[in-house]
Amino acid sequence: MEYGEELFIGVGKAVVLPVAIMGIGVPLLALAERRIGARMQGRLGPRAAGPFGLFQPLADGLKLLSKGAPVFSGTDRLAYVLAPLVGVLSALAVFAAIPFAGTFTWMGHSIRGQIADPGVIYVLAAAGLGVYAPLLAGWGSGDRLALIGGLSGTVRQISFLLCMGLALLGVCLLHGSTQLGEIVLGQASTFGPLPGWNIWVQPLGFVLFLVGTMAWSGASPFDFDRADGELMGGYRRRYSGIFLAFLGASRYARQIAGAALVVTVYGGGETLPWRTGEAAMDGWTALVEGMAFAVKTGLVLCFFIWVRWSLPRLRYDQAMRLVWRVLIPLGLLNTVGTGLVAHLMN
Amino acid sequence: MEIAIFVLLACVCALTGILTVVCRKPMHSSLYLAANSLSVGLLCILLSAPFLALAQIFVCVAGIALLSAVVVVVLNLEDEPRKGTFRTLSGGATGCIVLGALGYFLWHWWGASREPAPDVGTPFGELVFGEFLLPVELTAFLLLVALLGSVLLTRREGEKRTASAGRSGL
Amino acid sequence: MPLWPYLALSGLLFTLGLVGLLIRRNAVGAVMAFGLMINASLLNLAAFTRQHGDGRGEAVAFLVLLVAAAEMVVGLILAIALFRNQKTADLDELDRLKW
Repeated sequence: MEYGEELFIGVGKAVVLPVAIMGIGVPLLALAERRIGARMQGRLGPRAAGPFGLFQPLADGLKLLSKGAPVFSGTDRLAYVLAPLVGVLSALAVFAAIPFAGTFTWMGHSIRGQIADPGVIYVLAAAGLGVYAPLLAGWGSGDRLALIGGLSGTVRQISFLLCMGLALLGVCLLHGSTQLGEIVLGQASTFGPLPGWNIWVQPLGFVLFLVGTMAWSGASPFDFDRADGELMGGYRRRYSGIFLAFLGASRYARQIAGAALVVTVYGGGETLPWRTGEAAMDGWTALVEGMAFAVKTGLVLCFFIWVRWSLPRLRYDQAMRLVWRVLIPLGLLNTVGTGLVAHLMN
Repeated sequence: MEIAIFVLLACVCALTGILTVVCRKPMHSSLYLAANSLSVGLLCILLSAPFLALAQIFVCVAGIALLSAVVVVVLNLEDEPRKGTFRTLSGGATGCIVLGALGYFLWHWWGASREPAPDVGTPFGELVFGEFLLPVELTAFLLLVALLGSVLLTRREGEKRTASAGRSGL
Repeated sequence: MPLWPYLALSGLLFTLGLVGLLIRRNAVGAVMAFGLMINASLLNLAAFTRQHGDGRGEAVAFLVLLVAAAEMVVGLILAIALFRNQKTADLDELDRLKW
């Protein structure tokens, strides 16, 4: 009976979360990007479909779904179909490790606000599964420009995942654990007037992780693999209909996952800024914490959008030079320095 | 429950293994290898070796199989030609002999199945930085050599000095 | 759950990898079959780690994984170098040293 209930709660979490991300998070982000970007450019953005244009993403999705799949003229049908699926599944898999709220009791059950806690390595592995998506999309399309976009996209994802991993190593060294739940709990303290977040303790790591996340998720200015001007759309050239919807959704889901990771690892996760320690919570506190988490993630996403509409796009070789000659050496320096400091402080 | 998961993963593993070897398109072959590595990684989780599982997903799926896919793309490899009768038969015969030998050993040297131990003893991190420190450092050196070798082997003839000379930017 | 199914599966994978390595004409395909053999040995090591309860099996498996990965990378790079020399990655064409 106990096992059945736990299983039910676990499966419930595992089902509700991807639906919430794909059904609410991704459309909201798509709309926010267009509205905020429009405001930054002195125009208004989509407002007509529903209040504040909230139904615009729904309308776009319905339009894309109503376009049937074209007659396939590419090289490799398996790769063509697999690419959007792999992208979306990998981005959703990252969410399995991110805590949304602490442990709370609800109707007599003690529920963790997290699907599981396999740790930082799982997050990197789940993100690593998604590096196939641009390559398969480019190869399956049978188009030269798509292939260039696909190869460069995959290399971009791998390189910046390495950068993210090195930044995360510093945080894990400080907290002595790779589990995200414990990293969040370790930030539930205060440094004088400031909340005890990792962003103060690991500033270089924060910058590295932020840049790495922006580039891994394919947000501008790192979207050279799907550029309209240079590559005529890159690896999404030959896609339309539901596959194109999934490719776009995977990009937004990656951005949300990246922002959620930034908040979890460097921004205190779901803990309210001056809350200390871990107390058994009731459902309402957990809800407030969940909303705090959503607000923080939203702020990081607004930062992504702000950067996107401000900076010009990096070329592929500029981005590679940035990551391999600047970011990864800085990441190694960060790891070694953090290790030394942690060792000396013990 | 564990048996159900094992049966599912073992079927995926065996099927993708067969398809990796049999499939004629090299890109599909590398995708099946990635799926095989993923299922072996998940089986390692069942065997209480989570770090090994995650390391396998990192290295084999998101590394090696991806590299083989990239090589297929870069070289634009064609499909494997149909094998001749001699090659197929000799391969099949070798496979049957090896499988028979392995099955024989499994049957005779493994009497009753013993119960698995409840715990895996020393934690992984302590081993890697304690007892296995020297092999890990030597492996790191080996990986560095492989990395340098890969870069040097793939240089084209006229490209030796000009790679970093004239570029502007960072 | 008994241990012999894991060992049987790893034996099957190893055989498949060996047959693939012998049969395939493509250099990259041969490296991929080698990768199957690596997966088989990892599964075997993990199974015996679970059976003996000794964490050292997992550490050895990790080292095997790294070394085998390095080997496969070098194999793929050699396939690229081979392709540059003879314009095809076919292993049957490697017969210039035959008399």
